[in-house]
This record gives sequence, structure tokens and C-alpha cells, in this order.
Amino acid sequence: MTFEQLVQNLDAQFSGKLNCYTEYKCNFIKVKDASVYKDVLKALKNDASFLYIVDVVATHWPKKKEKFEITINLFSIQNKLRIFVKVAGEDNKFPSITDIWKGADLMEREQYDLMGIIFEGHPNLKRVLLPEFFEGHPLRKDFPLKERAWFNNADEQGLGLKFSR
Amino acid sequence: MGLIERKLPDNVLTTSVDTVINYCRKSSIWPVTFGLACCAIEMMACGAAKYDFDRMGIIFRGTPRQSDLMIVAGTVTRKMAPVVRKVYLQMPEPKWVIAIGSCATSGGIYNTYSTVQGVDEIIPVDFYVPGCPPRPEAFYDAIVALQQKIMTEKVIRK
Ligand code: SF4
Repeated sequence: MTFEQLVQNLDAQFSGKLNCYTEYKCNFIKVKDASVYKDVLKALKNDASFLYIVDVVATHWPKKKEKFEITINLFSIQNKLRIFVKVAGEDNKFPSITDIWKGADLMEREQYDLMGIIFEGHPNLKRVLLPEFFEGHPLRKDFPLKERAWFNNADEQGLGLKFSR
Repeated sequence: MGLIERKLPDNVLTTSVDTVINYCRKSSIWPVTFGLACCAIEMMACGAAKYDFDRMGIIFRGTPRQSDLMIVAGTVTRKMAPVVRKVYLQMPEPKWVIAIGSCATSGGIYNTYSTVQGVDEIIPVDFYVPGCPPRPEAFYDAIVALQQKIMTEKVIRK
């Protein structure tokens, strides 16, 4: 199955709700109507052999109306086809896709950690890279780059460390 | 350091003992490798065939308990900071520290939300080697300087 055939199948199912295009040799499926977002993903997995979830990426666009965008990188090993499914939203809440692909668990936790996206329905949404006592989400565009005040928030191993620089 | 404080003066006996022990110490520096980022690759290159630190008696150890030198090579993040301190505390006396690379000496290019601005905020550092990463020659220079420093130290007494 090529991307063109996939687009035909999807358009028959979700007409007018998707925007499919190829740019720089990458295949994108932009979900315009967020209400069908999970149905599109389910169709991709169950009918179009996209069993492998490669990555979940979040983007912060502070100047746009839809401030947050999720890009899901899917690969079909059977058809050797890679697609990027995009969905945008005004606030940082998106449905979790861990019920479709279990492997999205850690990827969504990472996006929650660094970008502050709340994935609704995620079984265990806590920080994964940064320590528990960190405040804020550092990959947001409005996060101050040199914010190091949190260094002294905790002395997690009781060693009496103090940071001043 | 110093078990006997200000009781034994410098004389032929004490300084000879110092010299012998210091000579042994400087000829068998066993560093614990604390490779945290790209500088660690340079440290491995120093240990490999071309620069071959083994010929100076430098044998990299995987544990702090067998080491007397800690080589902090790389970016120290806030999350890693307690670990660096803990490994340093586990080393037996006498112990020295070399900070390799601009990251370990000052934070380097990572003036950011997660990087400790210099490992000397956590542990005392004897020698700083600038560079991103420093060439093995610079690394070597720090080792030679450390050997000279070891030769000036007094053993047991202060
Ligand atoms: S000083 Fe440069 S080479 Fe060394 S750890 Fe930092 S960035 Fe990497």
C-alpha cells in the first residue's frame, strides 16, 4: 500500500476531516477535526497495518491560536511506509493513545515532563527525565533558559549540597 | 589529611619517608572514571593505544574504593550532582580531582536550566583542564601537574 492508496481509504472514511499531504518526502496526515483523532489512529492501526509507533512529539507554538501540536510518528513494517499524524489544540490537553499502542506510555510521559501536555487517560502520567521536585516544563518556549532556582528545592540524598551559580 | 599535627618537623627522616611514599603514589594513580558526556570519549582515547596512560601507572578503575583520583569528564547535570558527590565521598584518602572540559569546569556552553555551573560547586577540584573537549595532551598536562603536586605533599603529618 502506498501513501496515495492510504489517503484514498482514509478520505472515504473521514471525508473532509483530514488534510493529507507530502512535504520534503515526508507523509503527513493532519487531523483537522480533533473529535475523530483517535478513530483515525485506530483505523491506521487496525486496517492499515501501522503496528509500530516510533515516537510521540509535542510542539509549542506560543504565537499561534492552537498553541500545542502533537505529531505521532508511525511506521508500517509490512508496507515500509512512514507517516506523521498531527493534531493541534488550544490548550495542553490531548487524549492518550496508550490504549491503542502500549508503547506510547513512556513517550507520552516524556512529553508531559518536558512540554506539559496532559494526556487524558494515561495510566501513570508522571515525570520521567527530570526529578520529581522540578517545577515547570522546560521545553516550552516561554520557559526561562537559565532558570536554576529549582536546584536547591530538594536535597534528595541528604548530602547537604548547595548551589549558588 | 594529617594524623600527626605539627609534632614532627621536616628532617632527613620524615622527608625521606615522604619522598618514597609520594613517589609510589604519583607512579600509580588509579583514577575512577566519571565520564558524563562527550569528554569521556577523549578520556577513553587517552587510555587507548596512542596516548596510553597505562605507561604512567594510570589504570582506570570502575569503583571509587580502589581509586585516588577522580576524573570528572563531561556535563554535570543537577540530577547527577548528588551521585558525583557520593562517589567522591566513597573514595579513600588521599584523593584528588581533575575536572576535564569546559562543562565540568564552568558549565561551558550549557548555561541552562539543568546543568551545574562547574563541578567545584559539589566537590573540591585540584586541576581544571579547559577545552571542548581538551586534547589528550592537555589531559596529560593535568596528570603531570598532579604528579608534581603529589610530590610536594606531606604524608601522615601536617
Ligand atoms: S566540554 Fe565540550 S566535549 Fe566536554 S563534555 Fe562539555 S560539550 Fe562535551
